[in-house]
Amino acid sequence: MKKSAILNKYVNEHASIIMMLMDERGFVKKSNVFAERILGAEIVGKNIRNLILDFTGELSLDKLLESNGPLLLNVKTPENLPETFYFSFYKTDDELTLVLGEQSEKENVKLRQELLALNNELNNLSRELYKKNTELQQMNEQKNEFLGVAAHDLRNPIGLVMSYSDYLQDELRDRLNDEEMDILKTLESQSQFMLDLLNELLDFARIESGKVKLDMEVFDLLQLVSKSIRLNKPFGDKKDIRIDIKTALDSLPVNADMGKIEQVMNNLLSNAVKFSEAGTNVEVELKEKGGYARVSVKDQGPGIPEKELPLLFKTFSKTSVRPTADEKSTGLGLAIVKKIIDAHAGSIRVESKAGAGSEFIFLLPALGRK
Amino acid sequence: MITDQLYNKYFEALLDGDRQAVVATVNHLIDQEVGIRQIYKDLFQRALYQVGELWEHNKLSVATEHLATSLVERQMSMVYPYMFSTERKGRRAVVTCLANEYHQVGARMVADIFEMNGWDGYFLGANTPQSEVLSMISERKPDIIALSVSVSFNFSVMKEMVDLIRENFPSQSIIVGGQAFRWGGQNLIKNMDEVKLILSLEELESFIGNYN
Repeated sequence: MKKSAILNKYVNEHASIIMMLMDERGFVKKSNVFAERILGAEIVGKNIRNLILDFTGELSLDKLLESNGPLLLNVKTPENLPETFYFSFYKTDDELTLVLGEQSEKENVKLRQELLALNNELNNLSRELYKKNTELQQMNEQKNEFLGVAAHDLRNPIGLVMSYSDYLQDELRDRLNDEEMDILKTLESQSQFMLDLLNELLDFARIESGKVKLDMEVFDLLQLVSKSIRLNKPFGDKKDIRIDIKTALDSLPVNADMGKIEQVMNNLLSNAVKFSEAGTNVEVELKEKGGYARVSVKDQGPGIPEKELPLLFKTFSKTSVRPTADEKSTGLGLAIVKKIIDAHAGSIRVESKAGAGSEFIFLLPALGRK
Repeated sequence: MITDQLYNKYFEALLDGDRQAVVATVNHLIDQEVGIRQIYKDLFQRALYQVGELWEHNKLSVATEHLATSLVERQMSMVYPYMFSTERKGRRAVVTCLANEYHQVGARMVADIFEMNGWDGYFLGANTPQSEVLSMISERKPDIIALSVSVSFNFSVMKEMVDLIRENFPSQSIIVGGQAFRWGGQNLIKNMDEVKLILSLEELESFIGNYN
């Protein structure tokens, strides 16, 4: 075999250079293996205009042929990836044009080095991120522990203040004037609020630190909801707010932590009463839907502005909507409710519009569903 | 447990660039509560050594070597939540590759071994300029500075770095190590004052364990 034939064969089959012969109209007459690999198996007969990516609509065959030095042009591979080649065009003695396209080795090396450096950087950043994340988790645990200890230790003295103010109101009823009695009442109601806040802080710290384990049991959710309504009725009566239950079910068995779900119901009902005007209604509806027990608590209160809805289930985030009879709100209740429902593999959401009331809906897996 | 069968499957997937398969293997080991040290040594380190060997014997392209190394590095992140939770000992180590050193995974493993032992292992990454190493020592005041050399023609850079550290921080403890020492170079360390050569992760663990 002649040297030139070996060379031709090698270049045709193995060289990483696009080689094509095209006629004066730009149609490909012949190509090497590499050109077919980069531009597609059937390029013979195609026009070069269809092989080169023309982003600007200014690709002119004449201009390509007139160019002296290599031209940076983009092509599209069969995998639909753009690739850049430096193209040169040479007229041959048989009136055809030899098209040669090569990639810049210098550029490739630079790119590979850059990619390697970026990859290293990314890996190192993710290492730092994981480390910081672990530190933050540890700090969060410490915070919860502190919160738990502080709330626990404050509960007894505040309980004592509350009991004493209650005792004094009873004992000194005949000897104190109205102003003095009001002071004692304020003492009692403020310490009651502090106690509620501490209890919620304790709950929150326990749930956050994962110390609260769910005590699962099978019970009738309908009975529990009815009981919660009974317990909250006196608060509703005070504001002339009626709490009704609506359901077509006789019972709705679920496997859940009864105490925690009762806490959820009490929270939702007391919120509904707190944020509703006197003379309105609260409706509690129970359904079974798609393997889930669905409970909704709907009030006729002022509703929540749409932009504030995402804040609702976040810790200490109060909305612009205020309780209607100067009741207190800790800003923790709904965060606790969400954590309890999430722990049961359920979900909770709210539907509300300013001026049109709010509806809190939670789902719990119904019995028999995993 | 990391059996040969599991390792071979993992290694094959690694060379194929099959990210899902390698991630699944590591997840499986984490689920099986296989220790981080074992995953590091018997999976990651073993695979990286084998990749390096194949590359040195021209049986693997540099692109495949880089891809496999990157995949291992990504998986190292998967065990981080377990690693960084180790009880802290209040000790610090700064680990770095030298200038012109682009192979960083070994050095990163060293930083991670410090973390596993309750130290803060600050990792500066590949191709770290000498000035940056010096400023990190000044800033972090580490108990130990660890220098990684993966290719032997960087021994002179290592010596320069050691001299610079000595000049600026005379009492700084220095350890050196890396794949470059597989082919010799130990005698270079003998002439360096108070520089300890560490040749394996096991040796590093024992060094950390005995460090006062």
